Amino acid sequence: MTSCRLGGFALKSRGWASALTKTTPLMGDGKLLVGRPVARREDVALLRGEGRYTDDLTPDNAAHLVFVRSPVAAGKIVALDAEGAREMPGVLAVIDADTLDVAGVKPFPSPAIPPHLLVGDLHAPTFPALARDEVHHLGQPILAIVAETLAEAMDAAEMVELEFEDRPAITDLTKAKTGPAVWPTASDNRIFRVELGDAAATQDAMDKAAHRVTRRLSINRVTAVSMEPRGAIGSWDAETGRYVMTSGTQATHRLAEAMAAQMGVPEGDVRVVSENCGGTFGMKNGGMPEYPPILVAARQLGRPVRWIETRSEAFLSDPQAREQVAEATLALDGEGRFLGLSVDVVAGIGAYANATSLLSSFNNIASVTGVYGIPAIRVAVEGVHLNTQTTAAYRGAGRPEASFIIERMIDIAARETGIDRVELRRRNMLQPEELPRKTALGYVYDSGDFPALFDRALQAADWAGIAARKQEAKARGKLRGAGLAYTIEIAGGPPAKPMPEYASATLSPEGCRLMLGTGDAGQGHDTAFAQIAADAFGLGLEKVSLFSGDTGVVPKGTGSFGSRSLGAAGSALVHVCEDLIAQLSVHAARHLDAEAEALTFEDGTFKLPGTNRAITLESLLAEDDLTVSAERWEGTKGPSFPNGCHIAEVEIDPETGEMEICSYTALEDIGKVINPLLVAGQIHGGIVQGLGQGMMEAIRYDEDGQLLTGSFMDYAMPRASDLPFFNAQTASVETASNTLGTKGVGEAGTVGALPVLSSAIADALAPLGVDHVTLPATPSAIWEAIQAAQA
Amino acid sequence: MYNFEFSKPGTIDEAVAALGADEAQALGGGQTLLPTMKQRLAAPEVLVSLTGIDQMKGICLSDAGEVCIGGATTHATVAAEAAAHYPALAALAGRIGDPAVRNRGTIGGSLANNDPSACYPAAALGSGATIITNTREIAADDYFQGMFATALDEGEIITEVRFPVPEAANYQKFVQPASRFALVGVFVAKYADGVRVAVTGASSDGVFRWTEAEEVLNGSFTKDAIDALSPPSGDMIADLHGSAEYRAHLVKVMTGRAVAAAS
Ligand SMILES: Cc1cc2nc3c(=O)[nH]c(=O)nc-3n(C[C@H](O)[C@H](O)[C@H](O)COP(=O)(O)OP(=O)(O)OC[C@H]3O[C@@H](n4cnc5c(N)ncnc54)[C@H](O)[C@@H]3O)c2cc1C
Repeated sequence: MTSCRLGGFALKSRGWASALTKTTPLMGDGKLLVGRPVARREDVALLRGEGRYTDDLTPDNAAHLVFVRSPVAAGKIVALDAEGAREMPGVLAVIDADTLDVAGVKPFPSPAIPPHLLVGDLHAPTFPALARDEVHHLGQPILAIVAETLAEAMDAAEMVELEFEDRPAITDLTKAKTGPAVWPTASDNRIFRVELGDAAATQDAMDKAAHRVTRRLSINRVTAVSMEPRGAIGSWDAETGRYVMTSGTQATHRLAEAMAAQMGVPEGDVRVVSENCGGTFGMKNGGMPEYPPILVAARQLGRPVRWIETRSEAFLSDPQAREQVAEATLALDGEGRFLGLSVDVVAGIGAYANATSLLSSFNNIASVTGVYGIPAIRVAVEGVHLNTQTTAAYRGAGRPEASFIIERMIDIAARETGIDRVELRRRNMLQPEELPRKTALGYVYDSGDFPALFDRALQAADWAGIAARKQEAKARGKLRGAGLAYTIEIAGGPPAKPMPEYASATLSPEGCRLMLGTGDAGQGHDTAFAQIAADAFGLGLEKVSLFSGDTGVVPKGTGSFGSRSLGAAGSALVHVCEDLIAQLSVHAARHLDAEAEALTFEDGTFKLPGTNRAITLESLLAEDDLTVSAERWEGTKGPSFPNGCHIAEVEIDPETGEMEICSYTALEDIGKVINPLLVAGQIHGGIVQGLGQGMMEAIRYDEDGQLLTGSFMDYAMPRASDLPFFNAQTASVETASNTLGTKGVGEAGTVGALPVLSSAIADALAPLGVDHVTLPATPSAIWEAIQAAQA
Repeated sequence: MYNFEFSKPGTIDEAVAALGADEAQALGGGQTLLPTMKQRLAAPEVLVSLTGIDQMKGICLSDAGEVCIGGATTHATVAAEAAAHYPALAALAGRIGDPAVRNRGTIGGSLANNDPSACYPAAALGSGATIITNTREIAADDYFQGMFATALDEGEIITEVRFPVPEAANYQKFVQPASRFALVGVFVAKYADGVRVAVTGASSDGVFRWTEAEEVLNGSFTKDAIDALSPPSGDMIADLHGSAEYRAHLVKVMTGRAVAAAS
């Protein structure tokens, strides 16, 4: 059963320092580590610069690879002469599309869409690693040049002569259907159409509704801007006949699988190694065009080949995310109860699509149901080609977008119907006794207490005091607004059958060694999973070590995405620990002269109840010199549904459109909390990623497909000084869908942040007649919205 | 970056001599030049660093009461040491970039570069400063010649900049969200012989004086005095960070705020 523990932790940023200093790894005091703010073990090395990121792993004898990329967004290559490059000093190889063909490299595997969702055809043109006759987006790689040094490779790249016959480009999503076709085989630029929900029931709901609120909402294209840029070191292991690719990722096995398919070799013949990974957010999970040339070069040259992108290259070549325009209609009855929701999304994908390009646009769209009992919903999503870089998963992968749509629509409906937006949400919110509940788009919400969490959030943010704060701001010439969003998202899916994860543990007199199939990209796996194992075995944290990120060592793995690692790998790990305790109880039984089944195991000690016979796990391992292992490759019973309420207040200078975010409260139900410090880190970082997109981040191409935001001079990133302290708290209801009872926290911050900021801005501007500002809400966008409303 | 020779002379004369070499270029703090070289957009064959020239560093007051700043003085030094003499100038320097940029970037480099969104050009033009080079003195009104264009000749070095100290002054910087340079920056300074209003960030002609505003402010140095003016119409920059109308509007708002803060 679920247990309600409203009251979780309350860590403010300010509280971190004290929480850190108070925290010491515990041993032998009988207290559990799980649930405590144990300081991140990995930080000592990372803060000292001892992290081992991709480029830190470059061997001394590595050759250097650079790409020659397309300077135009659409065109035919009419002349390509690389002779000058080949003759440059230090050049070892020039690799083109033909070289890859000869080496057996395949195009990217086509993306797949479940047939029951797909309406019509899927248009997926061949996605090559290197362009041959045509280019379809700016920065598309054409040649790879390998030289002894990076400077020599760059010098040689400049000697390549390229000529293009330009073609018209399309970069504006709203004109994709009628604009120039990216591909002759898709005149309307449509890649796919997916339909979900019940169209007839939704139409019925629309017909009988007292209010119908329709709005077009657009969501900006962004890029991940990982601190560690993408890169890979390829090598060829002649002994085993395998490629080895060292590249920071959160999902080594998936990447290895994708690379094997691309390299045209059996699964397992590309080994992927990732030690520290400096941020990916989904972006480094899949195969990308740069990788096959690196591996081919490494094999040809018989030495390691290194490519690390520059920041400028990252803006061009990293997969991007989120771009869509949604047209939504929310139908309400006379009392403000939601009757139906209709949503049509057009998502901008890119010239090409690989296995991860399309999913985000429709796979998690069921979040659009929110925490409300909307009886009838229909959704259609169309993905379109643009002459741009392709998209991939990015923190939330469709969840923030879907949540943005429903939460914005509720605010707008509140304004149009004159019903207070808190009241409107309350009236439609699912009650705890209605759970578990299957929503109109198929998710089964298993647990949570939405109304209670909502009330607590409103209290924590002093919602009642907003009127007074608005008054006070007005006296200073500022417009203050409060934003509200209650969001819910799936974690650890897919719903029908959650993906499995690998966990193993080996106990020996030296301690406990864990192995996981899911990779860390900064979340703190080395701390959180060690806490679980240390508690399970009654060991000190320092006795537990964790290994992951090498498909040559870890037998299986899925990866960390969709807020799944703790639920999937953590639950598997709990089972592994139970298996080991069962194994060891047989040995303990011998020592205690008892039946194994009669023993209990608590605080690291096997005991025979009713006697004083006992032996600790550590002495058992030492005395018998035992080494025991267990492993699991399993999925959880079901997905979980982290949910939470975000409340933000902003102040806007109506004269300039400048905005300040004054306060931010996030109350999250993420199920069981293993480590509140790590949770705070995830929520804080997630919030900033959502606010960054809402305030300033945007990838923009001009009409010709040139990138206008190709550096930090034009691509705006949020900074600490742009943000208030966050009041992030948990109010957790544990889930029964996995053994740990955890719901997942990786995406929650971002999911709530995107809608809440827009809500706050719209509230601030309400006196001026503005009810929505297009993302990103830069001062200029806010000012333009004010001008438009007053015109 | 391409290969280059590097020299770090100790005197202005040596620097001038070194800059006589083919494809030689002066290096101040490198905050603009080095990123451009890293992207291979600039390829000097010789870099002559000016930061080892003591004659070009530091701040002092001239007998005429001007604040004199050596051409190789960093923004951080100006922020700290000009505060007592010319607070508006010090405050401007203190909001350029971030600490790393301020600890390396120099006033000479900024004025030589004349980025249309840079801050110092507004201060120099708004103060009617004198730009002193190894060969001559140039009045700010003659110095700025459009985006990235100045009166400097090839190889000419800014050795010093002299700022007459106004009765009152203020710089209002409205930042561009990504670069945090000025989307619009307005420097207003009130001298005994008149008010100067210099605008950066807004125009595709680079920094300019908003003379209509100067005229009305000469009559009454109050925020309200400019109310009746329409924003300057000139060649306002329109880009993804703001329309021409928005920039023009901001010029007026920032001018009003600068006057209010100064008066
Ligand atoms: C992240 C970042 C943020 C920034 N933010 C701002 C901002 O908000 N506002 C702002 O105004 N600026 C900003 N800048 C620019 C910064 O002020 C630079 O320092 C300045 O523009 C150039 O000065 P420098 O000394 O670094 O010159 P360098 O980069 O060394 O040189 C620039 C040019 O000037 C020439 N030069 C250098 N010194 C002299 C001299 N004494 N005489 C003649 N020619 C010379 C060089 O040959 C070169 O052509 C920013 C820069 C960065 C990197």
